[in-house]
Amino acid sequence: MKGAMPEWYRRRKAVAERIYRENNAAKYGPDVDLKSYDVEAPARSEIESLYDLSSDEREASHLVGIRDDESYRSGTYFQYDRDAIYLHYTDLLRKHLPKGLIVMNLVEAIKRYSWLRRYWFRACPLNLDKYTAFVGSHETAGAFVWSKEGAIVPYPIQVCLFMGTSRMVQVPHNILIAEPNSSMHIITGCTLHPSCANAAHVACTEIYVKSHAEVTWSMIHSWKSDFHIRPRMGAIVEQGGTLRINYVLTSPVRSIQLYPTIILLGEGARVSFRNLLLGLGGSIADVGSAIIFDAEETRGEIMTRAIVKDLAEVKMRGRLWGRKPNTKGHLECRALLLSDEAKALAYPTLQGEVRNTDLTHEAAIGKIAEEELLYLMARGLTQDKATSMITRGFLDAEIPGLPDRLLAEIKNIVTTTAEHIL
Amino acid sequence: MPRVKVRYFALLRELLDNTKEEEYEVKDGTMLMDLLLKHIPKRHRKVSRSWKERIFETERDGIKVDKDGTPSLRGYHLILINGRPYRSISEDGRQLGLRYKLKDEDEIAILPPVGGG
Repeated sequence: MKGAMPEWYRRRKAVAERIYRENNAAKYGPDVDLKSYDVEAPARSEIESLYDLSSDEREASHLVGIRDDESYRSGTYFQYDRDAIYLHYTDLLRKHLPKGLIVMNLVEAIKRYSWLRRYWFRACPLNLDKYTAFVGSHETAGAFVWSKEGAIVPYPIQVCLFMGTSRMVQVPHNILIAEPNSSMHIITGCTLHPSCANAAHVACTEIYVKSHAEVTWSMIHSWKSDFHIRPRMGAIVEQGGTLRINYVLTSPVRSIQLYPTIILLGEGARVSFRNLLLGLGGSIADVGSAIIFDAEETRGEIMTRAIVKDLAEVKMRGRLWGRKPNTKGHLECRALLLSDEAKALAYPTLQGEVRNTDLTHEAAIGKIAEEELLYLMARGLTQDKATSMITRGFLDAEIPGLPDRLLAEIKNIVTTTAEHIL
Repeated sequence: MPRVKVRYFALLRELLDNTKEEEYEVKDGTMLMDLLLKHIPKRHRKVSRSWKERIFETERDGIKVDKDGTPSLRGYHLILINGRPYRSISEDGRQLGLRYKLKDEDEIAILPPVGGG
């Protein structure tokens, strides 16, 4: 890492270290002893193209939406363990939007842009829990994505957070800023090398959506059964801005806990969450989402769908907090249980502090009705095929606001994974 | 005029006063979306609003429609036409989706995957 970090950063990092030492456990999810993992890992060399990755690495990346040919992409940020090894703007982006988008390693951005101190852990407070403070005190890299005023980024930007070293904890910190009237889609794939047996991933993503800007953040996770995953996420959406968050979990994990919290700060701001969770093996998944309606005429919705199989346990949390009038939010949690041992629990919280805040909720958890299976079997399907058909229909959720091609890519990942596990 | 059978399961059956199945006689050219959006709610007036809210995506107190005017399904229920998912049915290589035109003796089944609500 060339060049010294600025004074403001060193001061705040010292604060993060102090908070981390307080060892403030997260409110939800099993506690992870981060001291039992190494922050250090062998240095990874920069690459000139994603084709320089091994076939195993490329194949793993494909499964989380990372395209090695970078077709239909505006740019790529690829982080391997603790190092940013590849940053690239595609020719399409260079031609259409030469100065409208900045993608770089966050550490470099901190050195280059002193104004970043106004964003650093603003949407996701350092004292939220020990994981957030851990990122503040141990971050080594992360994606900084900045769309400038009025820039309509033509194709998705892909961000890959890849792990290849067992017993390490990866600590990326991502900051996304969409300036007024700009628009961008980011697809983030988090995965690992097949030889990486057990590790932890503790990340923080902060998203700032300025006036009338639009951001779509699609995050796909594929891990292994001995991984602890703790992504932190916060966002602030200003007047007329739109944020869409899509999260897909496609693999077993030891445990995962996340609870992204979005503040709708400007009049007319909007947010939508779509969480698709495959709870497999012995996974413990505690996945929440929260929306704070802090301005009038704001709208938000959270939709979580989970398939829970084997011995997995999935907790679906949601919180809608109406703090201003003329606001509207909807929360929906549904889980389909595919084994006798699988567990799903829903914890909805609706909190209205003023009149004219309209908050609603619906939930459904259960197994497939036997009568439905019998109906399909009477039409010639085996029980497995009938189960698979109903499950695929269940996962075929609407994901609003995605370009058709990206939507097809994400649906393909979900369908392929579902077919593999059923 | 085509006569079609509609079968309901689980909570949808409860919503429609425990109607397990029923028949509709529709005009030629009636599409699947017309059945779901007009004919069924018309026959079950007392619960027509709940029906629409369960089946379709809503926005600003109305049903959300795609660019071509097709209402947007919630994508949660499995809807079968003669045992095949409605989305898998195509004509001349084009997916018909909710614009499938109902034929005589078609059987439409609507299956909510999970109970509760």
